[in-house]
Amino acid sequence: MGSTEVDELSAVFSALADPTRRSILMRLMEGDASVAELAEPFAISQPAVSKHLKVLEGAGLISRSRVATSRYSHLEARPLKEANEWMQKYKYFWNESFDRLDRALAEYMAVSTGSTTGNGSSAENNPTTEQEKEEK
Amino acid sequence: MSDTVPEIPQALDTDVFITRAFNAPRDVVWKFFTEPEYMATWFGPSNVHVPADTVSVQLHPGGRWDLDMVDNENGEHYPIRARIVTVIPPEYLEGEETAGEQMTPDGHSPIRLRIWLHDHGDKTRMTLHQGPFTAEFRDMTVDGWNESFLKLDAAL
Repeated sequence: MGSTEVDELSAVFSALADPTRRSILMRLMEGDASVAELAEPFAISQPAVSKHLKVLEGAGLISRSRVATSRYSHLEARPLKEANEWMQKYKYFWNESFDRLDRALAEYMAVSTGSTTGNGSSAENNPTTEQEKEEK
Repeated sequence: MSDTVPEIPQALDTDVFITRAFNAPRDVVWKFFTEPEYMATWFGPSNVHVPADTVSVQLHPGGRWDLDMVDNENGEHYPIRARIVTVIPPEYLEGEETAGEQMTPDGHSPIRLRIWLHDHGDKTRMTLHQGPFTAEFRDMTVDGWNESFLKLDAAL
């Protein structure tokens, strides 16, 4: 991943850090909206909403167009999707690694105890989830 | 740097938090996190492997914890480069990923990786924290995100 992409993600993540901005994005999932429409559900002024929109636009999360005297905001899904994928990456990374670790440990334990039956082989064939293990 | 094992922080403190039980005693699990020949057997997702000769571990503060993941398809190397910050065998390992290419959203802070091992009957309970990716991230609730992304999935 290049540094430009990292910078983009950084802007996306800091834009998403604000709950009002996340709500605005949720609203825009239902369709384009004017500043007045976006301000409605919040106890904040239209200029305050405009500030949030500027941040979202800067992060590439929305685009804006002018229709007569109103500016309409449109959700741009791509950066959101990339941010989500980026966050999930680490979780997948570790969970896949730990599935492999389960098998490696099972092999190790089987060799070191001189036994190939019991918990070792069941863990290898069917890696149990954390919850299942907790219940044991 | 300290000799005492730090408390496990709240899950919301960082954005990657994983806890899991392994079916082996703690000293064995520790070996798999700290000895090159064992690290090479499991590290990385299923589409990569780790050649044992790329693993380099110096188990002391300031020491290296390095390895290369190699793509099974195209042979490309994905290096992991970390510096050990604290090591308390067989209980706690803390390192900082220092490679410039790490995907930190702010582009420069190292990613801190912390691993705790606890006895859990005859198994070992591992807790992993990785982050922070950005300070802002820590303010967001996991539920908020999950909910958001469910909606997002529906919208995309």
